[in-house]
Amino acid sequence: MIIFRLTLLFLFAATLPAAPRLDSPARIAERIKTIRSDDVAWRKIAWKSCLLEGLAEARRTGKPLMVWCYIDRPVGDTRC
Amino acid sequence: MFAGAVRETVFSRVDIMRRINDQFVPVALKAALVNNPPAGMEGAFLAEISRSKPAPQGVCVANGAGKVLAWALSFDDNAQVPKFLDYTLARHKQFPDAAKPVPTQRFMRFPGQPMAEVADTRARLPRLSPHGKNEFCPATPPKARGTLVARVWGRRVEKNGRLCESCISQENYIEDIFDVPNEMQREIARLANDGQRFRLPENFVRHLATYTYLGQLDVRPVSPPVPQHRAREHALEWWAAPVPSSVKGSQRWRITGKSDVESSHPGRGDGAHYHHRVTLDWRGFIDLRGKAILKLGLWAEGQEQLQWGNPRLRLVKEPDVAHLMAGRFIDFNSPVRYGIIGAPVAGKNVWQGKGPPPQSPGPLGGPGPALEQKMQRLQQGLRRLAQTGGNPRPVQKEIMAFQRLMQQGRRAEAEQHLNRALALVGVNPPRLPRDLEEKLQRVRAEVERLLRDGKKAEADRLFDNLLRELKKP
Repeated sequence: MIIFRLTLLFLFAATLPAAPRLDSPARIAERIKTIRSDDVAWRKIAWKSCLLEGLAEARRTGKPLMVWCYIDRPVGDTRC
Repeated sequence: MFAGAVRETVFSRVDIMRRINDQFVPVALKAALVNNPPAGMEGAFLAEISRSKPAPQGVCVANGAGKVLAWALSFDDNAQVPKFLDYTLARHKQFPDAAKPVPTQRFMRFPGQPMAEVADTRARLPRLSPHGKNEFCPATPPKARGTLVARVWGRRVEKNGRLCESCISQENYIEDIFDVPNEMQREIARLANDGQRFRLPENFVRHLATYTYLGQLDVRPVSPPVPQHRAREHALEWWAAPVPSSVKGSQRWRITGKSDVESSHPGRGDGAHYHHRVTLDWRGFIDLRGKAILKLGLWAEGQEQLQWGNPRLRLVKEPDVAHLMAGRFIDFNSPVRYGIIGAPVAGKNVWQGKGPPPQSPGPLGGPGPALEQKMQRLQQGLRRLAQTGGNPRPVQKEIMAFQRLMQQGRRAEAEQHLNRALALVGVNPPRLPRDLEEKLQRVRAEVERLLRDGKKAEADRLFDNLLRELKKP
């Protein structure tokens, strides 16, 4: 009886789909594409990270600087 | 919380985004740079911004001369955000440059809670010029050759099994970038040397788990920057097995494993919660060549629980923009998915100079520019002490105490010893009168400009002329 049950268990396990292998750049990229958002609102502001560049543009265009001073990394696609 | 809250509530608004792009020059600065400005021209402009800041983080508007027109830490309500833009544009019309004194207006909440105005010091700022060919911007310092730059994406899954649609909040969607240092890669390569299946070093798995979470910086499940936190690592077990590689000269390793990390805070007694647990199953690959990782790709699925903030904030009727510093209450327990891709740093981001690359200043680590400057001044003082036959032993004692405390992460105490060492070598000379200080700064800025333009001979001549004047009785 035990052997019968173990055989059944083995057969059941064999029918379960194995987790697909993700051992290539293409497969990982495919997965990431499913969660990645290309239309993130905060990325639509063209933040500069260099103050000197910002000041030079402000002088050239006559616009004021909007300075966002925050912990850790500057601008773009990072956590804050 | 401030930065994340501002990004969600202010800089994700379509009307605000449009106006900032059209009417302003948007610049995002690391608080570490503003709070500890480095030496040089950029440092002088950063110091000018820092001078009037009401808090370590914030939003301000400045004119092209680098003079801050107004700071805001939050807003009375959503309607006041565009009004702040109008207000600063009007001030910019009034003070477009540094021709007349520019007082800085500051608001805890705009416009209902103004703070004390900060007067202009009229300090002359250096002449503006871009970074030279061989210079780097302190905001984006280059990295050591071989450093693996990894990008991570993460997204919460709703109860219905679909991916969370809104990507504005960081508890729904994150993107992040982090480095895998060369030493960590070498350790993996050493373990892979036998060509057999091996367990990846815990410090590597921990490093990746540190960046794989939803929410803002404060809620990091590994070593969170919250004082008096409790952290537990339930599992950090990844295995690597060799698989055939299509890339010539490299070996591919299939990665499988689990990470389960948790952090919490006992609470402040006011009802505020903090608890974060991230449990993930990982699959992926690492391509190794020699002692370095050539490519890394990882995918993780699992469950994440996060409670952060005070639930009473949900009862407060005021909008999120009115309490940006406090943030808002977060509470979820959801399936999550993450992906990571890594490749070695390339192009102009590679450090080309001699010795180790400059450290990126960060409030969460590293000595930071202010301490580095003090250490440089101390070195100069020690040289002077040696030349004049002074006794270096008391100074050496202070330096040893400083090094020991820095290694222990006791930065504030360490700095006290550094200050004592500086005092012992007499490095803190009396302050110069402002007009002389400005003249010195102008000379320095001019020399830096000449060097940037490759005119070293002219810089030499300038100094020679000054030194000739010194020799005159």
